[in-house]
Amino acid sequence: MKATGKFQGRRIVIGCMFMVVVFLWGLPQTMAFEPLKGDLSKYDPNNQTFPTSGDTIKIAIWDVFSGPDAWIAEAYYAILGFVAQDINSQGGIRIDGKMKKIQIIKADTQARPDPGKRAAEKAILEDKVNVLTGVAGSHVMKAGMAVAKQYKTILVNNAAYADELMNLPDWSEYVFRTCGTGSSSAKALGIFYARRPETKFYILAQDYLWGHGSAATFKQILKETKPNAKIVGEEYFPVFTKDFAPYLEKVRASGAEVIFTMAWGADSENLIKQSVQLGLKSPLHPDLYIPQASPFLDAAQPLEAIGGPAGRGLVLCTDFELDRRVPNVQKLCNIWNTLWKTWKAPYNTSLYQWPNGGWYRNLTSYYWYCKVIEKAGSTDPKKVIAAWEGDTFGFFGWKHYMRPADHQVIADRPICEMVYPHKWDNPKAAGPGDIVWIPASSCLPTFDEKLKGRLSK
Amino acid sequence: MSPTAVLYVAQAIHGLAYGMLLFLVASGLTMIFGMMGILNIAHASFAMLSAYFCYQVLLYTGNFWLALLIAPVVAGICGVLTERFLLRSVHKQGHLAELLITVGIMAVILETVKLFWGTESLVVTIPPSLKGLLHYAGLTYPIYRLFVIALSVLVLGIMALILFKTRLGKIVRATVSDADMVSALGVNTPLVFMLVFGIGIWLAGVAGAVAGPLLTVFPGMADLLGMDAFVVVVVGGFGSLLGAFVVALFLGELNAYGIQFIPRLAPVLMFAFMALVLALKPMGLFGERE
Repeated sequence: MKATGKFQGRRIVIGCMFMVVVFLWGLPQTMAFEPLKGDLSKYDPNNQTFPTSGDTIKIAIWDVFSGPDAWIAEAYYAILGFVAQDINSQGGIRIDGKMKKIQIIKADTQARPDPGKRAAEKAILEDKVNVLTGVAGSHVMKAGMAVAKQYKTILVNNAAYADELMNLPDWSEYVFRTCGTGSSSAKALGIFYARRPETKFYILAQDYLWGHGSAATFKQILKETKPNAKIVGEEYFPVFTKDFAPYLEKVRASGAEVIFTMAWGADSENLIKQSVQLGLKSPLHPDLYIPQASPFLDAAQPLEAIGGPAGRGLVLCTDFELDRRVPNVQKLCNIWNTLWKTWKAPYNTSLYQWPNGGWYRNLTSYYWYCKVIEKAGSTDPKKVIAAWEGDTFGFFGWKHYMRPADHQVIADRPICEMVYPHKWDNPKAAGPGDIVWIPASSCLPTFDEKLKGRLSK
Repeated sequence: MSPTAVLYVAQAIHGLAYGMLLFLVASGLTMIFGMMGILNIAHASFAMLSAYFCYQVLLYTGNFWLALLIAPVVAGICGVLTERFLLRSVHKQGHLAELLITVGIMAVILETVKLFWGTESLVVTIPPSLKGLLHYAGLTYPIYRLFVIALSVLVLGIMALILFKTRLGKIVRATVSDADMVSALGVNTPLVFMLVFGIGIWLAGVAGAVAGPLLTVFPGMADLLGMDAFVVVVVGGFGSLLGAFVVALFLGELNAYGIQFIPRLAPVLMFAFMALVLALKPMGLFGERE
């Protein structure tokens, strides 16, 4: 029987309604930003073009902008600027029904808790930021977490590694940690060395919360994974120690085959330089220096100072390592490195040549936060919390999962032995070799049992 | 030598090297205080400035020896200009004003190095002629650290020669004792002050330049060196070069053997020693009552 006109009309109406529904459902997806899809061709961290007024998404870089460590926030400004340029050039993020662009606010902690607290308060109360991101120094982060809780503002911890930060009573639902922890680094290293010939380990760590906690975890894991391992020495040095020679002489005398070192900044650099200057050769491989295993070995300056060959064998256990086999990572590297060649001081040094280590960590963190607020359709903290708990981010081929109970990121850990010559990095220095991935399940960050079962949904 | 003996000898030399570096920084500071009564808070900042100058000369010429020669001299000139145009003008206002202005100078130097050299740490490598290790009776020791010791002894020798064997040295020592009397005898004491300040900064500059290959050259370098230098000056006695020398060496050894035997207490030993000395002799070990 031939379809009547009325029936045909009904089919057309239903078809149109279906198309409208699909369009309306698909529209947010098509308007969603995608990392690295924006116009980054002219991005220059010295001449950033994000909006400075209007209805924007205000992201605060809450970190050290002054004093001897000002390079930290200076670098994060370049990284967030890159992300902002990328997203803003794609039209921004749909928030509360409107497309909003990212604005960057600087908040100087001066690397101390009290100024950090005041800077966080000013950013929240005067600058009306939607989120604080930072910070170098777990002692400063503690102060910021209290402020975030008081003013109910999201705080993204992308650089403070002390495990205790995500325990009660400091923890609050407003804080999300997107970086690793001391314990996850230590566990990953313990598992890495379980499969290797070295058996004598010397612990040389900074004498504060992070150093002690990491060392304790490493010793425990080593006991479980490598019963024949020996800790032949254990020392804790004050942060910003000048002369490591007396410590390194004890390392030499102990016959250690690996130095497990939790040190950052000038300490990490001086340790690397001075151990080579003292001629601390590996007992197992006399053509190499005693490997130091650390999360912060990939700073360009000390590796340049000791030269390429001397850097071979160092073991980098960062929580963010570029895996160039992944297409999106390769794309990121290409874009970044091409731009870097056009940048002027202070961004034209080897430190910025590739977006590795801490740069990659923060980049991932900023993109992830932006994806979350896009998912939530809002910067309202409660909605962000609901959207972020249990969320994953894997644009760079490496899945990050936000543990809902305590807002701690869970991810596999990459470990690399430094090699020379290195194809990608600075030709004057050793660089990360093939990545050994330690599964997340084997190196989980610590978890405060009191938070078990806590969900905001 | 047995491995234990090798370890202890190595620690002794490490202590000596560090002590000598401390002495270079502290000697200028104690001279300036002894002469002018100025506690120069910015002293270590000038050492840091010299390290940056050393980096810059090395970058242009590739010659470490030239950098070692030029950098401290330039730092010394900066010191002379500081004394002439800043410190001299507040001298009449008393010691507090002088102290405060040196705090300001410290901040200016910090921001200046950040402005010109950025905030990252810089690479200063050991020159090829001083690279490598000395092997002797089982001991392995870096040649560069031995150079630091030798250079410090040379500098000390030159200073002692100038101070005790030259007319200039006589004038300087006399001015330390009684500036008014020396002025009454027709000596241009402001010029002597300027010279002494410049030499003091030059000494800090030498320390900064030799420390560059050992330590990280970064804007926080002054903080690393400054506190220890003040302890040396306080314990040794303000204005006493001999005191600065003896205490610097002692603290260097205390640090090395402290780390060897009681590492957890090593960072506080220096301050504990300072407290003990000041309790027993408030003017410092070699300081004199006015």
